[in-house]
Amino acid sequence: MSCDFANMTPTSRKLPNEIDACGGALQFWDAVKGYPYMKRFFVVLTLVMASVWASVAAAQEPLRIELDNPNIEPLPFAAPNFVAETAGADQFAADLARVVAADLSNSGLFREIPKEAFISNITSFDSPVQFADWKAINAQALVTGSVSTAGDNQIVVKFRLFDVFSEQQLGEGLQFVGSTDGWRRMAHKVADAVYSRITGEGGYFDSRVVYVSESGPKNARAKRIAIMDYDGENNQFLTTDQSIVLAPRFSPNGNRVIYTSYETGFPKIYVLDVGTVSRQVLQDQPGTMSFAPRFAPDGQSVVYSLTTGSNTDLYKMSIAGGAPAQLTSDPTIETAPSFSPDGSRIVFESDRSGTQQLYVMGANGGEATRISFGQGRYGTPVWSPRGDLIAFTKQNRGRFHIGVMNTDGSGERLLTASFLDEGPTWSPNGRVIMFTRETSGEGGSSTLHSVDISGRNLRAVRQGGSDPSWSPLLK
Amino acid sequence: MRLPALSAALMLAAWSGPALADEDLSEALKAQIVPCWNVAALADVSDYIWMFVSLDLKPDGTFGADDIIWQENRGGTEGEAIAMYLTVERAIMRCGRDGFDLPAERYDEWRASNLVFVLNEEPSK
Repeated sequence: MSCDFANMTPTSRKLPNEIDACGGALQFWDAVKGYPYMKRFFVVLTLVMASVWASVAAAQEPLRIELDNPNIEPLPFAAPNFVAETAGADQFAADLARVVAADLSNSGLFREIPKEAFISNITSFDSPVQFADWKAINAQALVTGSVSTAGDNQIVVKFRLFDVFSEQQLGEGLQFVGSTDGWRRMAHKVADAVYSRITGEGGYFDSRVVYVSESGPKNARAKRIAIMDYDGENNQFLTTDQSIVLAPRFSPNGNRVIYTSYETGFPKIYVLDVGTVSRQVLQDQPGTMSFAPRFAPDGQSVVYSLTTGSNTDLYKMSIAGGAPAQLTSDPTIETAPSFSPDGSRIVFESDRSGTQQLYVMGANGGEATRISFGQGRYGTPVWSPRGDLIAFTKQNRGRFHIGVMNTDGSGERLLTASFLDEGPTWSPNGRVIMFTRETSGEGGSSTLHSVDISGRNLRAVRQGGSDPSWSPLLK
Repeated sequence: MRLPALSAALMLAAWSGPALADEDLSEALKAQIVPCWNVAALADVSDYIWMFVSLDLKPDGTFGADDIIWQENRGGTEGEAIAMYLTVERAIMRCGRDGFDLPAERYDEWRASNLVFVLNEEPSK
């Protein structure tokens, strides 16, 4: 028995002997037992009366209630147009609110209340909020903002977040200054702040995704490396469609992309600077094929697969060049390596057991531990940025799945199922996974999708794309 | 330690009545808060989070912002704990905005309550 409130059932009452465990009054009863009969009678009577008194007194103790069956419904929020504080800011005021609302709604955790339902509007950023008007439409969170234009194509964006029912502002107001063509990024930053203050998690809206853009028929598909905002907007191509490109992956700071290109006829690894779009070949050992590269968390080295003859093993080399270090030496195919966030371990896929499975080894190689044991084949493992989960592709009974498991292989959960789902990548906060979904048949196409790690909120992000890699949160 | 049978029976008799009544009160208050406790903001959190808040009510069942006090929490990150508290506060504020409907003649029994909110199963269970 403990006095700890956590160990009490919701309406449990402390029986006297249980009270004793907390208060030590059992010694009193021990003393009573030694009294003569009449004295014992009076003592017992006194004790009974004391018990009755105690029950009355106890009735005035706080009620104790335990609630463990919460609802999970998207949180209703209102995001009225930002207040345009200068001439020419009207369009930004509407667009900023629209992108903030879309970000929050797309997360699946929030539900936007339509503007048509608003009883009042925000016409001055600094005026007191009329909470009653927002309570009446059940807006639980309210995002207000303002935007003003400045010289040299600059805009200043301010925002505040309110918890409507507690009539409290959540956190400090924030202000962002940037160029007019960066207004979407500022909206994403506002949405990240709102998301973070309500969920307690880091956001992921101000981030980008690099992927393989695909166009043309399936038997002659042109592929280019492209980059876009996390929501599919602001698409830009980083390479031409003159050669096949595969598996672009961001560097940890998001400034560079490493990928595989067939432009020499053999797969080679290139590093591309996102800002200048300049590139260099990283690995060019004659007579070999290198592919499936991925940066180490420190950004200074790269792990990749290298095929020599008919054998494929994992290697690591410095981004500055130099001799590669061989990490595996099995007569089987080892590929799709991914570092743990602390850089100490690597998860990869291998068919050394006879079927394609997932293994974990130290960052410098050594003995690997198999972590996947379910039915089917496992591939393309990616370590979560939080370090707690590994996302993977699973093929079983003719269906493909995106799933997650604990880093020791326990707790496997399949999040999707379709004709072909593959190639997961994690959002910066480790709460969302983006992947490729391909439809069947000659006219089949690839579309980037996202899904929460709970398996909820499956969404199509962009058509004509595959092999995504999510950047870290932008600075 | 075993108590003498007679005394134990008397004690239980003395405690049994109010216990049932308290349970009714607890259930009445719980039933009024549960519909508003929405943890969508923590939907992707699989950690066990335990939060204990106290709530003081006025005779008409209303309360002020200072009457909800975060007493203790366990599990989850600091950010998740804050988010959890916000879901709890929002639940009480929303469903109690017009005052909780509890029997006025028993105000002494419900003027103070200790509420424990539990998200996800405790790991050891």
